[in-house]
Amino acid sequence: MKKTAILLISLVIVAATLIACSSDKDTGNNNSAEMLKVNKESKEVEIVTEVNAKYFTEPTRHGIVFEGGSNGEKSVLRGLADEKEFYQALIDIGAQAGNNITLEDVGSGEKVEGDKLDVTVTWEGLGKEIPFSDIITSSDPRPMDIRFGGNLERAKSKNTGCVLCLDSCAVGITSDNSYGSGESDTVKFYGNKEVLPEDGTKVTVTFKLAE
Amino acid sequence: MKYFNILYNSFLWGIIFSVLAFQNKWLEMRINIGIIIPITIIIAFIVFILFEKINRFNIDEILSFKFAFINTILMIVFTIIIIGIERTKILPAAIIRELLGMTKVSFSRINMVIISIIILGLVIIGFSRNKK
Repeated sequence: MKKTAILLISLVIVAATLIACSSDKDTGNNNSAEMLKVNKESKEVEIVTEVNAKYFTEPTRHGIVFEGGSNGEKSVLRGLADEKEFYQALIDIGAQAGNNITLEDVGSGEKVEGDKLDVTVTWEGLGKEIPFSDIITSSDPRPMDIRFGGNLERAKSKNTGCVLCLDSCAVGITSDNSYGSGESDTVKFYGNKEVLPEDGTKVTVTFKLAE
Repeated sequence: MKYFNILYNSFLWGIIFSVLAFQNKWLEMRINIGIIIPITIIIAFIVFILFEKINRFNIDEILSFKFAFINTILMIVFTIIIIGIERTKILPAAIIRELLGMTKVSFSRINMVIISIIILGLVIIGFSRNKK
């Protein structure tokens, strides 16, 4: 029994050491001011995210979710900025929320309204900004049309952390008008592994209020 | 040693059950699928110990090295059949990473730990059998 205990402990130590040694990615403090930047003049909100390569091979309806939310590990990009602060930032640049989809509408095909946002992404080494649509693949591709859905009260009560949903959503702060509510049940979305950098890479996402 | 045998085999079952559960999108989007691994381990402990008490069989005789080895091969083959090689490189590691909340750890490192656990587990089970 004593030997078994020693063997078990050794096994746990080996596993823990291997994991600890591998935590070599940037684990610096996620200062909220650095993770979310607002530029009222250019009407832009910038948030920092991380690539979650799980969704290079698995389907998801979540584009960006705040890591502190209940869906924090369910999105292509793991948001490092709180979705409620992100909502306020969009209000601060003068965006109008749609607030037209309720929980009763989920699955009805209803499309999200609200101000249109041009969403772009960039990361270290890319040297340019590319459209958010370039980093997502879909089994039923359509031009992306991201809207400021709003949904602050449900974001607070559900605490899912949803920042950008890939189909029209009753909870996400922003979502894609091109896909009606519930369409993600039939359409499969993935992170585009041909475009996105490796797992854990920081990606800056910019939301600009469209003219 | 019987507890280690249960732990080793049920850990593998837990992974396969969580991979199967992951295929249900509704479930995957709502819970931390990795929680199925410790649940499977707990259930396995309860079932084996209960059956041992009722039927008075020896767990070590049932969960032998041969059993652990065949179980390991079957679980690996089953996982590859269900999700394919490419997803096998990511999904079990992603499930364990989410379970542990260790988002900064790369999938390759977690896969290295899983492989180490499998090899070391088999060595420990085999070693203990030889000593007996």
